[in-house]
Amino acid sequence: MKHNFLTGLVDFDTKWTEKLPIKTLFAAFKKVVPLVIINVYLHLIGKLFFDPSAIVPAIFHIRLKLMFFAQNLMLLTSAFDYLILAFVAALWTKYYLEAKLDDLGLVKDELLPVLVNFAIALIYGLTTYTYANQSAIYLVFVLLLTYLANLSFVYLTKWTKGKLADFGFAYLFWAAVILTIVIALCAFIPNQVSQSSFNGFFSMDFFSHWYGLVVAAIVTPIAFAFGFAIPTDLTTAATDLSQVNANLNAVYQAVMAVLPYPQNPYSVLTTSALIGGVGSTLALSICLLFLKSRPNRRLGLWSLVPAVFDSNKILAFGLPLFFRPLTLVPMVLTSTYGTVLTSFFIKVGILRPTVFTVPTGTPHLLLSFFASQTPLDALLVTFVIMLGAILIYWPFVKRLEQEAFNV
Amino acid sequence: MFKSVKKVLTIPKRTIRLWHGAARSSKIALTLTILAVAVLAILGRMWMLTEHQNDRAIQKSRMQPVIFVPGSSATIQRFNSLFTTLNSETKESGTHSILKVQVNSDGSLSYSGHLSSSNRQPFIVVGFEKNQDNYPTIQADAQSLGTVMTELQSKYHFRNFSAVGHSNGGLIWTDYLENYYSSNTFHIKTLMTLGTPFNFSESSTTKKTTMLSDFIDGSDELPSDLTVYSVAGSDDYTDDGTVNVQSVLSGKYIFQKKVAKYTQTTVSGDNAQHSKLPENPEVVNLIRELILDNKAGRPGESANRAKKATP
Repeated sequence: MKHNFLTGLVDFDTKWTEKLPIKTLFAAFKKVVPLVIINVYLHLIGKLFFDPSAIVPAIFHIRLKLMFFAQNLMLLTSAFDYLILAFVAALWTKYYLEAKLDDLGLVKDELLPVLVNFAIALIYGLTTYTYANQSAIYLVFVLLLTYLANLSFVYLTKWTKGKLADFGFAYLFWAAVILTIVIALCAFIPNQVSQSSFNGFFSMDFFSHWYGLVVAAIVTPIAFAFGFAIPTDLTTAATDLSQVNANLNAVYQAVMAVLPYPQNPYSVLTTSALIGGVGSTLALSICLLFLKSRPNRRLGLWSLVPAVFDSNKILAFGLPLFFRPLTLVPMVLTSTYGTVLTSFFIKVGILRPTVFTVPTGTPHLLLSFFASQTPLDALLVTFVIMLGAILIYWPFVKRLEQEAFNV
Repeated sequence: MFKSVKKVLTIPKRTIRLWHGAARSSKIALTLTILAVAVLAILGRMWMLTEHQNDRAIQKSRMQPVIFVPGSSATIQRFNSLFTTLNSETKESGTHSILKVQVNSDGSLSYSGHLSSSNRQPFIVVGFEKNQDNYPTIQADAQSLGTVMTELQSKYHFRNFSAVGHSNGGLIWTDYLENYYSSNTFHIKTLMTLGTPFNFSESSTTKKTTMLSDFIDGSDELPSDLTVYSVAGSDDYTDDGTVNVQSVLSGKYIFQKKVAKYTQTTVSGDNAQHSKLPENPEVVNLIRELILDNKAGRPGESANRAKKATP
């Protein structure tokens, strides 16, 4: 049954990735991987060394007096995120239009739509960029607009039978209309969405029970795979959720106090469903190291250290994880598995939940060991979660390699 | 069923075989990563243990210092006369111990005086060697104040505090509260600003300086449970000799509707000149009643007293 399911999934994945928009999008993703690697490592340096409450200076008791340099590094790396997005939009447009217009037997210069879609990503960046929301990028928004712009360009070209001049008034008017619509749309993005913080929502009582957390564990990888930014309330270790504050107050009053919210997004989701990033992708990085295919192994090597510190961006663009059924299924499974297991151990009282806040950059892998009141039990549970996640990912990763060989 | 169990039992054997067959680079990368994580885990856990004890001490601490920040061109001695007056009145119940911290130009801190752990409301003065009257200096001093606050907390384990800022000291507090204050680590109860020019030397309320605009933009970050008293000095009905009353009153654009309570007060009399505001008897009364006794929580009482001071 497992074999049948996997075969069916691989077939679906193959058919899906052969569709022109997806095929060209994945080609664009893979093209920007070197840029993504530079971006991820710059983020990592900032997060581990230069953040005001970074883990390395904190535990080694060193104070780096490079505030100006650090702030600029963080601002530039955040702007770099949008640049990568702009490159993806531009490259996708180029590959897609080249192939699509070729299919239609039309010859057109794609430079104008490439520039327009590059500008779309930058407009999105300019309207939503703030220092605080460096991780809240909605890939889906830019890709959807890029795709609609591409479609409209193809229809215009098809309708006019390719007779319009490449940089003529008609195409310039088309570009102006597209950019005006995008500027108008970007102006309507609510602040809360662009900052991706939903503190009130995740502080709801629903997320203090195993079922609420399981729903979040299932939805999170799906949202991620569709290019939505994951709320910082789930990803950050310095959370301000009301459940976490209530637990912290209880512990400060009496060391082994009965916690009012033992199961909450911080103690369950952040701790065990996001080890290595959304979908417990540290396990995926480890699996890639043991593949025979050299490109996949290299991807595993590059992504290993960032995955330890919960960044799966290299994998997200390199494999890719976005819009990919074959990687989405194990992501949902590992996320749910980690959540159920941790919820269970907390519920039966074997594990004291993650309760303390930790320095910025603390790996989720060590979160429960650092911040639980039963650190050794927490370490053991994390080990079991990691082991299970690797076992879940392995068959999918093998199929991924096979699929790559077949291509 | 038996087949599945048998398959599960072969996992360790298959894992060992996989490890032997893996590329050398993969083995080295994985081993080094595991070692690095192990080192990080041990050091991090040790750090967390000391940090928890510190946090617990902070949470349980009864110490609620009053932290004073002087204005531009003033030293950490600015409040000496005020402290002498306040301490002379409380000799029987115990004087407030005084600690002075100076932030030197190179960022280092110089301490003088001491804090008594038996004091519930000791006084701390934080002064800046770099204290010119301009916005970039105020921003830099606010950032330094953040560092000083963290250091003070780790030394003296307090969470609750009240703040007094004279002249630009009030601007430094406002910038600090908007940009560096975290309600996770601190709880500020009351902020009192004395002759603080929220719109610098601008007397017109329609012309907002960059600083005032920035403060208004960042006012959402102010703690919502904060009580703010803005005290203006009036020497000749328009200013206190240095700061225009209108500029002080511009504080309402920053604090009103953003904090729990915002009260504006104007004091006059012999010592209502800008530099002498901390010694003004009305100001001493306000600090005594609103900060030291902290009756601000009692409805009606503090607001009425503050209004009485208005000429």
